[in-house]
Amino acid sequence: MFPPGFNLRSNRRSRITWVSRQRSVPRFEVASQNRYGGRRCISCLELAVWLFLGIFGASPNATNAQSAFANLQDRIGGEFPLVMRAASVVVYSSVDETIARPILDRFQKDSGIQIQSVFDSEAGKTTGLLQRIMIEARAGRTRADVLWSGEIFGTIALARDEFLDAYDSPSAKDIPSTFRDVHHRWTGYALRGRVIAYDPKKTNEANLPKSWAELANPDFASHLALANPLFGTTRGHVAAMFVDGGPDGGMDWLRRVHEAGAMIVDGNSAAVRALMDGRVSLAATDTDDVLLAKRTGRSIAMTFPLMKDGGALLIPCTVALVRGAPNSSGARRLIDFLISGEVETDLANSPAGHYPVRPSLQERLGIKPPRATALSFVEIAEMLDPASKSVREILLR
Amino acid sequence: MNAVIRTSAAALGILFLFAAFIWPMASTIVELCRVSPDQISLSARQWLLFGKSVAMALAAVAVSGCLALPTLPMIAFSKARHRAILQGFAAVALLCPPIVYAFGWQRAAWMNSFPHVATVATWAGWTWSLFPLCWIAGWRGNVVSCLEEGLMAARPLTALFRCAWPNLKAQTLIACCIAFLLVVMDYGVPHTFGASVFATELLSLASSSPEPVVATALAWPLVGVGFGALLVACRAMVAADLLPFHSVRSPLAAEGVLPLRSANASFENRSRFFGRFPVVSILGFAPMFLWFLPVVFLLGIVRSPAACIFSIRVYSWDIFLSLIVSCLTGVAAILIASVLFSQVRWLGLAHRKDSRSEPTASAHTDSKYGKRNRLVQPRDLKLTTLLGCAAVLLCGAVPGAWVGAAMVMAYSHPWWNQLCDSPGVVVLALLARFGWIGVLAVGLSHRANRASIEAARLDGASPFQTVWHAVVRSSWTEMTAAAWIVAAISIGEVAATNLVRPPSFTPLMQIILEKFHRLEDDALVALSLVSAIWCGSIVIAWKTGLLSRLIRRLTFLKPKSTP
Repeated sequence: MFPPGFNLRSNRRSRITWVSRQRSVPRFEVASQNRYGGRRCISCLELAVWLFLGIFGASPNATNAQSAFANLQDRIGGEFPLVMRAASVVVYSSVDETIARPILDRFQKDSGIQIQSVFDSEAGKTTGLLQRIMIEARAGRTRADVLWSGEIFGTIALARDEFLDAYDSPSAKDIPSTFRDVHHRWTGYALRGRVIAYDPKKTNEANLPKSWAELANPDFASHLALANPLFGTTRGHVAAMFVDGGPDGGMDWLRRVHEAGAMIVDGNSAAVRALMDGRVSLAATDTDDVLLAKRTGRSIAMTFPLMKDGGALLIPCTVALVRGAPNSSGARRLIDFLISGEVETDLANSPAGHYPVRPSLQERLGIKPPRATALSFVEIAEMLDPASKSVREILLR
Repeated sequence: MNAVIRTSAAALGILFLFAAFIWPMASTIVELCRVSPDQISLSARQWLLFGKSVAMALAAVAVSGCLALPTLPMIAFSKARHRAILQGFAAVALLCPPIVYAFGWQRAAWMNSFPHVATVATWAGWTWSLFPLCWIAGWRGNVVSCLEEGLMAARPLTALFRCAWPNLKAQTLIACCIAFLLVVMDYGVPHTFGASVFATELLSLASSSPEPVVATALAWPLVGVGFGALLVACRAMVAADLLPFHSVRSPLAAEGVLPLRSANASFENRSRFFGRFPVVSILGFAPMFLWFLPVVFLLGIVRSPAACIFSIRVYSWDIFLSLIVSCLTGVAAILIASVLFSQVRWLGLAHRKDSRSEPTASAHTDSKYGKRNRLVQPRDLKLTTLLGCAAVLLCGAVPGAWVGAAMVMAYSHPWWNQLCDSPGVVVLALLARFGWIGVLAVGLSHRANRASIEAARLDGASPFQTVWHAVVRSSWTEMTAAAWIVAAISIGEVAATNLVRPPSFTPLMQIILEKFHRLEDDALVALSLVSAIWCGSIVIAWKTGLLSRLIRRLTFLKPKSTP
């Protein structure tokens, strides 16, 4: 249980001393006289000390503690979060943890770089992670090295506010320019689509709205579940409605959805769940949520409503280097890996079924995404704040 | 050696008190002073959510009280060992994370159609257990004697509800208030059923707002209601003669004749009761299996046991760390409580001027600490203790999102990088959220050991030595139980840990929620069962005395043999 170099001994007198027996490895020797079984007591004391140090990240001696924790880590099969911090890369990810974890593990194994990840939660989604990056940066304690986001609009907003650094990754050469920032602050790939999910046993596909604007019709909106538009892809979706129909058109869309009594739920998966439970007939969500529900044998299908220009709203995942990243060299290596064709293939083959953006991959995998809207991601990102303000005033008042 | 341990424990207790309560609260108050009045005004929707939350919580408390009522005859007319079994069942039901019940009940199709009803029902199925636990704790002294007297003249149920029940009103009120506090601050159950309540709104705000202080400012109605409930609970504890800060009112209690664990009165017609009232007996047994049903529902959705085992293997490190973090939270809560209560000057005991203790203390001038003892000013309660207890209890009256946001604000400086990168910050958040339970538990143990405390003080022990020798050692079982209660409850917390998650450690409940949203049923069941088994095993270990025996054997806390 205890790392090498730490020995226990019972003596006649109680004392705790630092004894350096070898040249460079100090030893923490505890010797005690205890009428209740000294050795056992000290074992417990030492266990407590190590647990405390492990949990709170303090260490009496970095080198010794590092080797000690590495030893313990090997035995248990996990990782002590702090001690490896100097050599590790911290990634904030809103890509599904089930999909992202094996990919990050593979990078860790291949590169030898320790990966520490913070995944989003259903409560905050991508927005929660972005806010966390901003709060940490403003406080002067940036912790994240890499942002691996499940959407693009928040990343663009983060770049606009100068929380991201430029990095022109060689892995991004074959990604179409639409999905790359001109200043190389972010790279997009692996698309997900905004869709309307429905139960094919209860709803006829012919009766579904053909466009997003049509969804605000009370006949549809009164049976709709929509994730909270302050978060995640729904936030970008509402902003896209503001770009598509103009600010007035967007506000009108929100007003009609609100007046029809659409159900606002915590997240996209909650919207799908409301559909599966029969509380609503339609759910505005992402493709991956529908595909996951389909895999579990639920009766669910999806359709791609169109924007005004006749294209579907497809949202790429993005990878970016965080400004002031503590380990920027490791972060660059991780970014090269994450936006590689290999990882995009993994994402396409994953249960989330992302659409690849690389033409060569689309051809090789036989996956053809629906025609995407021509609306600019940057324009939509510019509209995020006004749209969120309107959401608060109209939908969530 | 004991002195080293004792000093370390005191230092750690003070450290935890400052790190988890004083510093975050002070930072939050400073930040709140900068908030403009516009930012604390709730929208109509938020007021609606707040009203809904309170109404749902009240409904859940009412339903849970009704569910628990049939257990009262079981407490009254069963033998002590059967009562202990009931206590064990109730403790398992209470300590199991409510979100696990929600996952189970969600499999019952009708529950999903009415998310708010389902939320209330799940809350009631969770908190009913508080009532029997409080009643059993109060089943002593007056209650027993009143029932005995009533049985001489009336039928059992009449005697129970007309004679014994009025003496249990304070315990019932305590259970109601604590149940209300637990459910009105809960995030997991309504989130699982897709019901929007004020707690879910607050976490969304705290997650999405660039200024966490906004969420804490907007929480004021909920904090007010929670604090009100806590005050009523404290008042009820005073009435039930349970709270340690209060002067002794009852002449019986003043003489110290009210044992905490008596309640073993025997009735001649006890064994006949269950035969005569089978319906009441069945109703009394029914709630005990309420926790069992959702677990069975959960097990029913397992498709592949191999996938369950695989998910436990994948997340073994997070599970291990979550359990360690929750254990540390429990231990830290007890350390804080011990430090706080070592400052208490007991009313009616050693320091009252008119009591006989003062001349006795003066007679001990030759003792090691006699000189110091005489210098201590006779005061009922130190201001530091009062402030510390107020800070700890106030944190019990705030939602998890508030605690998480307060932690984010308190530890935003680069100095705290090391802490924020480690699971220690989760320990602090959980401690702030549930430390009040440990403080109350230790306070009650403290109360039960007044005679020993007085003796220790007369013998010249310092305040911390008094707590260490007179409270910790004699109430070791109760304190271990309190630590494990905090450990068990803290593993189910979602909101507070959500905001402070460090890199590379995802608390167990966050993983479970993720699995729920990703519709990964096998992993959901496996991880939920891990948390349920953890809580169940804590109760079993507590009830069998295994924990306290084990810890006594493993540690230095083996009591000294008296000459």
